[in-house]
Amino acid sequence: MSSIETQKTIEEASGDYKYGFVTDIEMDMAPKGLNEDIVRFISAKKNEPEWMLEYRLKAYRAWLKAEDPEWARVDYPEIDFQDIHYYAAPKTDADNPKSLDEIDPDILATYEKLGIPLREQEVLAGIVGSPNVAVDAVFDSVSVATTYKAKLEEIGVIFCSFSEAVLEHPELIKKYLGSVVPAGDNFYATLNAAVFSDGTFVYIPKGVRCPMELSTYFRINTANTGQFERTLIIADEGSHVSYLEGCTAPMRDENQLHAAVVELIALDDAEIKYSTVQNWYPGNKDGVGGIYNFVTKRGVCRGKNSKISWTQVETGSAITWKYPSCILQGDGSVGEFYSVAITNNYQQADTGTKMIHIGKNTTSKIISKGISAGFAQNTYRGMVKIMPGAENARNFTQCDSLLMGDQCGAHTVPYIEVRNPTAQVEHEATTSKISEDQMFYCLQRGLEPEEAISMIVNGFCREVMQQLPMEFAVEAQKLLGISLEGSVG
Amino acid sequence: MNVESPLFAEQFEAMKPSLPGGDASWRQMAFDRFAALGLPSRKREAWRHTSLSALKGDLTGQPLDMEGITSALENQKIVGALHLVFVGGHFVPELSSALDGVDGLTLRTLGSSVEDEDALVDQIVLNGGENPDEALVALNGALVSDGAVIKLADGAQMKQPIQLIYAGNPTGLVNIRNIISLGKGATATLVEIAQDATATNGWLNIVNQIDVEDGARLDHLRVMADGADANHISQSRVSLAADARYESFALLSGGALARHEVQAVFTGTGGHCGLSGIGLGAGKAVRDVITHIDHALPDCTSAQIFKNVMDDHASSVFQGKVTVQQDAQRTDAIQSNHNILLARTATANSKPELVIFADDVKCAHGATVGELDANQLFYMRTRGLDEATARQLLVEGFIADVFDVIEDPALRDYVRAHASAWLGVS
Amino acid sequence: MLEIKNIHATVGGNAILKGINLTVNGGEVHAIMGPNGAGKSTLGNVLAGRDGYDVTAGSVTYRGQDLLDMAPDARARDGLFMGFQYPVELPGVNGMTFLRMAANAVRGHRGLEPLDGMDFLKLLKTKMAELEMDDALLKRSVNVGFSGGEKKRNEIIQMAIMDPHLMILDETDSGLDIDALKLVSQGINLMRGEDKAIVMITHYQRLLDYVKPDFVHVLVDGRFVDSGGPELALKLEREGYAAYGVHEAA
Repeated sequence: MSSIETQKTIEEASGDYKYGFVTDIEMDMAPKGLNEDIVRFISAKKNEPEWMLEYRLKAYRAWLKAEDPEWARVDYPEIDFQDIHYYAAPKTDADNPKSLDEIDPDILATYEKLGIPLREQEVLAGIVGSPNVAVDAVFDSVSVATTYKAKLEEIGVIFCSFSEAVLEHPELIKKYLGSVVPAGDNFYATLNAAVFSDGTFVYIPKGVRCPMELSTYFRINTANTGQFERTLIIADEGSHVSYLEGCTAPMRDENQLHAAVVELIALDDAEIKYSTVQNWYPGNKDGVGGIYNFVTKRGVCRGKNSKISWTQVETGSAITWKYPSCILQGDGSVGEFYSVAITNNYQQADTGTKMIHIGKNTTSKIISKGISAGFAQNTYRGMVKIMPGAENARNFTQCDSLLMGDQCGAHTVPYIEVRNPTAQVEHEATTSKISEDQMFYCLQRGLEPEEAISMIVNGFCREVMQQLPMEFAVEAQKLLGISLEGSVG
Repeated sequence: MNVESPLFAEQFEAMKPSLPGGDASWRQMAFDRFAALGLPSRKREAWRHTSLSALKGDLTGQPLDMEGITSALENQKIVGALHLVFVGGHFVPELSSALDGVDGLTLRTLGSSVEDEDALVDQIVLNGGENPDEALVALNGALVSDGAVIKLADGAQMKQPIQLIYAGNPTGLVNIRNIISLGKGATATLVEIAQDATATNGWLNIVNQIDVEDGARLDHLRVMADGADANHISQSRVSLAADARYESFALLSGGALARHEVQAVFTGTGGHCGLSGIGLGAGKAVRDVITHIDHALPDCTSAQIFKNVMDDHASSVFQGKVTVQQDAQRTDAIQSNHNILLARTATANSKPELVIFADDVKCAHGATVGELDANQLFYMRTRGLDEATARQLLVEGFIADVFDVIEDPALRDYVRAHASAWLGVS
Repeated sequence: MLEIKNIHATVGGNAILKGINLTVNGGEVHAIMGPNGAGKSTLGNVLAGRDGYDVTAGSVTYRGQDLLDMAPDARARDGLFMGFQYPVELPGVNGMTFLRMAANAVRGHRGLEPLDGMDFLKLLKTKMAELEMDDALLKRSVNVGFSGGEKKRNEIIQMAIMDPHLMILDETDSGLDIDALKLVSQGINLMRGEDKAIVMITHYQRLLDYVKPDFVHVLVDGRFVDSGGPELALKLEREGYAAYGVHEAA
């Protein structure tokens, strides 16, 4: 395997993060640092009503007393929260772009470069060849464009930026904001509640099956900024929505903080499918730079027979700290978590889920695939909790780890707490490496080492990749291969 | 200046004159360490399910009923074994076997030898470190009253099991420290039992320091069948040299709290560590198993299997951790924990943890929680068994394979009898 | 021995049995045949007393008692034996221990002394000789890792030892090769007697070549649609259930 020729092939193929460019445009920024004035500044920038400002200030005061969590298996220098810009928005003539024409052409070009279609007419004409996806594009702190809004409005679906929702749908925001992830939930969620700049809001009315995939594309562009977006999705009774999230950032030598909060609410018989392909800049091969991705994602199956399904492919970020979770409150509700987390070089990931079974006949399924290469550390941390009232609850968990090289780590930390005897909980985990037999077999059949690894890893992750919507699956599969470049030795 | 004195400071002063070594400086060192650490709070993950709040009372014990203890002993003694009986934490020679006369075995009590041997003192004091989870090891060092010091010469093959019997369940805190070392190629079987029908609410705090040299093998059985209100905490620290083997089995069937903790580390290659156990709990009992196997070197194997059956308001805990260090290639580690809940109010907590820094390893764990299978119960009833019998048989069946790790049939039966006693009254 | 009067039964709220009548006397062998989903296994489970099978109307009298009022184990102790289509596995429960407990449960009910290990082994040896089987299966956990044929043989051993009055055998022939079928049939035939009755539930006539029934009943959609002698089974074998409005793939 470690022939000189192979090494050379790898060196040629490895390295470049293809989304690492910077877009040079004029920005409207808050000064660095965090205090009540900054919180007021952000709120004012968005013309927020008083109640929203109060919510932020309350969270800010709680954050001052909160402590940075230490229990995760991730290691990073103390973050200087005063050295971050908490607001950065592309300058536009008006406060918000009214149409695509008002958006800086450089931004449009950025999204095009990323393969994200923002021009509806082009999409409709089939020029980009992109399928049925409505996109909310978040550039640094603000949403710059939301496509297909009009078409979705016809059937009552609200799909807009979070700032817009605060102004246009205050009753929904007041009712649901913080109802799943309370403002004081944890250090980073609390910080987010104070300074969140924008994000996506989705409401699917009763009985509506959203006819297209909804998608948000996050892009961090400006240096020294944090991105704190907020996503809130409400699926009313009997509705159905599939939502995709993608993200990239330029290559920089400094670490940038991304601390998002996502809240999902599914009422009776509703279903939310939430897919993420996380490809923030992971830092270079020596571990310099990269995004700190400290995210709180949680969904509540509030209604009977509702379903929330999380699928994530985590390939980017220097550090990932996220646990997309389900609170299974409604009888018969279903929670799912499908995850692929790949760490290479000096990346660290501590990710997993919590499934809290409260209602009767609730079921959950956890499939986690962790791949660790280089000097990376990859931890699955998950909790399955069966409350006393959760009659006949079922959980199945499968966590598999694949190690590539002898300098990396793969860790599995499941917590199982069962307080109802009618529950059935099963957890299985394995740790392995790509066997020499598998590699040899592939090479003997004429595959390049990189191809062989990509193929074996894709096979290892198949159960999760199958869950991704078509639009993402191909891209995600390529990502797996790219993320592992340089890991064969 | 009015400084609050550390927990147990006064009791320590009052108790130490009656302990071996009296007010020797090493006791003070151990106590100072404990005082600095304090009792671990439930915020510590390893103590999350074990409350020590009831330990904060009086540590001194009440007088014991020697007659009752002596008569109960006869059922506990394994025929043909060497017996060391500790009553209220002190070795009682009249109730025990002769300590000498077995080739290759040096057998003494800690109480009788600690004053003369610096090496022993070092072992007591140096163990524990600064980890807050080790506070009870430090407290044990400060207040240790006795224990067994067992040393097998290289190549010694002990056929007779060595049995340590902890009799007399006092109201205070009893601290016993056993120091066991097996020379190269030696083999031995150690059985510990704490069994008491009295309803006293004392604490037994046992620390075992175990060294298994190259190619040696220790089989270690613990029966924790204490009285209903008793608390029994045992902490075994095991080091395994090249090709050494350690097989441990614990039955946690008695007491309000039974906590069994094993930390094993491989200091040579080619070793094997097997940890197994059964937790049976009713009432409000807590059965807490904490294990950590540190695969520090290559080519070692470990296997863990723990099963729990909880009834009433009882709860079980399994926190099992396997660490595979970077050098520990070709490690093979498996870990399993299976739980049955017999009552609506019972709880099972399981945290099988793998921490892996090497790539050429085979590591797997599995955990399940459930209730007795309705189809199996029905099948048995169609064969004429009443429901209670059917449930009992299924529970016995559920735990049956764990006993199989005990190779000696007589010892297997001895341990199984204690489990059956629990099942019979549940 | 058994008198079923107009029973209706539901499973999970679905009506499966819709008025079954059947009288079984000592010495008789009945075969109940029918297409998949007709309710054959439901009838067996109702008679054995499985939870979740709700009898909504009708009555069942067994040896003068209200059978439906009896717990599953009480039925078993009073001589009602159910041979399962899919015998369940009992991990960790030793086959020999289980069998002796079952035998003694029945003996206790009959006012007989429980058998100790030695006497039980003697009885077992006799029965095994009659069955032409060996007791290797009994040294393992009940049904754990058994092949389909081994599981059925184990059912027959249990039946022989428990010495029941009424035997309900649910698809006992399924999954058996010809040698196993002969062995199992021989075991069933050994149980025939003046004071004993057998009800065989089966999809195919194959078993009936070896265990000759006195009566054959055809169960379709929860009701008996036809009854007759052994010749009825042969007719079904030739013509299928088409005459009853059922069309099955061959």
